[in-house]
Amino acid sequence: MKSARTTVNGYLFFLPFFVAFVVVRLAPFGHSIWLTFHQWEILSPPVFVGLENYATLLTTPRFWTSLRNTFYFTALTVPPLVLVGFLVAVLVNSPVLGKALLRALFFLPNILSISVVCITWMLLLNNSFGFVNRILTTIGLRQVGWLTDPAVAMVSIGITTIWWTVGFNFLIYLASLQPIPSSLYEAAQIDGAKRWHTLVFITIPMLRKTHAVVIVLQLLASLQIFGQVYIMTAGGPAGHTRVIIQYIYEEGFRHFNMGYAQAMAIVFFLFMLGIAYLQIRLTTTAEDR
Amino acid sequence: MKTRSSTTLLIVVVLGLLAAPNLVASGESEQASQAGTQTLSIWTLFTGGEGSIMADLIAEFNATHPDIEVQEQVIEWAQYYNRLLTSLVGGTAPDIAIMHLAVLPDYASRGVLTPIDDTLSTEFRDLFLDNIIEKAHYDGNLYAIPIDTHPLVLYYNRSVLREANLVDADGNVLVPTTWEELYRYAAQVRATTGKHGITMEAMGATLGERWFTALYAQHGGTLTDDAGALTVDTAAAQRAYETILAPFGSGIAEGPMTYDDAEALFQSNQSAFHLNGVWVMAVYPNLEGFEFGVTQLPAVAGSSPLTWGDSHSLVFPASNDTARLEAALTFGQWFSNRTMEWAAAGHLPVNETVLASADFLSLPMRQDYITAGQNAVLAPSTQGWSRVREEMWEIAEAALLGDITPAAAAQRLAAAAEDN
Repeated sequence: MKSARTTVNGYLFFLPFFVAFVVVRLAPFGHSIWLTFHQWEILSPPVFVGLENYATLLTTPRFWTSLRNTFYFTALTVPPLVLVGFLVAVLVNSPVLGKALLRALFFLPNILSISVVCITWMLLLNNSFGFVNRILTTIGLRQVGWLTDPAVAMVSIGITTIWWTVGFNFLIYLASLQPIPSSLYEAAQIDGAKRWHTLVFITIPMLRKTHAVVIVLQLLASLQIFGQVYIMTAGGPAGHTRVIIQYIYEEGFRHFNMGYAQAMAIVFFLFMLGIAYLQIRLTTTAEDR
Repeated sequence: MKTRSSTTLLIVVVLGLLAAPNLVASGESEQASQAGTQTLSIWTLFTGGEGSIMADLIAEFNATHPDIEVQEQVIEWAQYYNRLLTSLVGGTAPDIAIMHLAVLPDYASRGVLTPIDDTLSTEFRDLFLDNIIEKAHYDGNLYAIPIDTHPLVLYYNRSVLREANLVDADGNVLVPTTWEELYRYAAQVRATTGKHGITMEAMGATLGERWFTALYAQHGGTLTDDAGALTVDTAAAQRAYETILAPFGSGIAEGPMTYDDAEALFQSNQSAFHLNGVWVMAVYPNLEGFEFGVTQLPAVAGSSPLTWGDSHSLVFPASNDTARLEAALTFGQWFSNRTMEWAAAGHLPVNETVLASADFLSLPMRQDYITAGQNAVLAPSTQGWSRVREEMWEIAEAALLGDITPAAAAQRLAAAAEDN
């Protein structure tokens, strides 16, 4: 009797969230899937087209190049974002001068809005008048088309992204470093371990779960790249930096092709789900599960 | 417990009585204002110089029309069409909206705009430049009141040209009238001064849509067939791409180059010639130590100096309220007759009475590029044009980067038009 009542109470507590979840998440998601089987020009009613949208994306080169560009950006940014976040956290966790200031400084770019960050970097990387090219020409090097050379543009967007978001990973690592008992380091020191020994044999293994979390979050964040590209290059030059979310946006909102855009979004969602699942499988042990 | 609840009740009643007269009064005044004046919303995307001219004109309209009040909402350019689209879907569209004629077909074809032929007098409709008013139509119906055209024109820097000794016997700078001349002069600038020969936004819309449209038309290409379907003359398109690429191959132009970069170079006397729309006329005359001139685009031999143009217009999202529509059209017609003020931002009026007025012609340098208005080639009235034109931006960039040849670029454009 009592347990039944507890169960009911439990559901009652759960209900407000569940209603909100259905209204703002589940229902739109279902609607989205329904739309993928339709041609919907937004201003006119949806027309059923079966699997045509999926067939289109499979045979559209731009879908695949956008996907490739997205993976390229992800490969460019995930390793440095995780590594730099980790190393900086370890660094400022040790007794260095101005520790509090350093912590604040590393996190600071994170609080800026995307447009501020992108516009600042666009000024720095401007071809003829930018700070970076000025330095290059002063020391006798050639100007680089940081945002207009197809070989470099994505790297520039990557650098901007790293500068902007590395503070988040840094913060997670810094927080996870706190509960590692100092006795471990002291014991190691007594045994004559060097600094890098403690890093490799204590710090890194103790942060195993943190690595998994940071890497998954970072993968998902990098795969969803859009704003920086949209502001800094608009996908150019000649589509060399067009990423998948941008392509979805263009088709859906600019070209009145919402059904096709939804189909791409669903396929991309499945990609991300698969990657996140694999990632978690590979980085957690049986006992964690 | 009982006393407490009756106290609460008392307070509620007293407050209610106090508020009641106000409610009645405000209800009355609202009704009065509804009967007296029609409040209309207009969405615009103008900021800076254009924005203040727009706001001034609306204020003047409101001051002289006691029965109509137009309220402007400015939406940032980048977000403008997204917001307009969602408002049309959500049924919260404004009474009047600014729309570029290039995107008009994408909206008019979907029945979200009011056709205005029957509500406007023939005399008013006949006031406009033919090439412009034609594109305010879709499928035979008029949907928009054009308020300007903003064609692509050629700017030149007098001091850089003098520095490169490009002057005639009287000391006047040489202004090119053909592309060959332009490229020759630009090469001389490059050789003698080391500065840029020609600058423009060597990517995106200016390169692939505006400049290309002008050259394609000059080479005899048209974008629609007799039935109004999109078509591409690949021979003309290939020649247009070759003409675009020529100065980049010979080093007198650099690309890809962003809009801001190109503007910065030209405005700081680092470039002799510059391609951009007439909207920068709101900026250039105010720059100190900047001696510039403006003229229509050069022409391919045997062609008139056709150029790209687009047009801001007023459109009227569909609604059943005829009184509001009439008020909105009153504003539209009034505004059209005041496009003289609007032209101060550099745009060319499309209302021929305004175009011919002494007031307009006395604006500085307008006579130097007024012909660009009737030589403007506007986007075809075809649904899906916004997709094709973005494809054009990318194709020209790919050609510039050497990813594809001019011939392949022409083929890709033809394929994009066919897919549409």
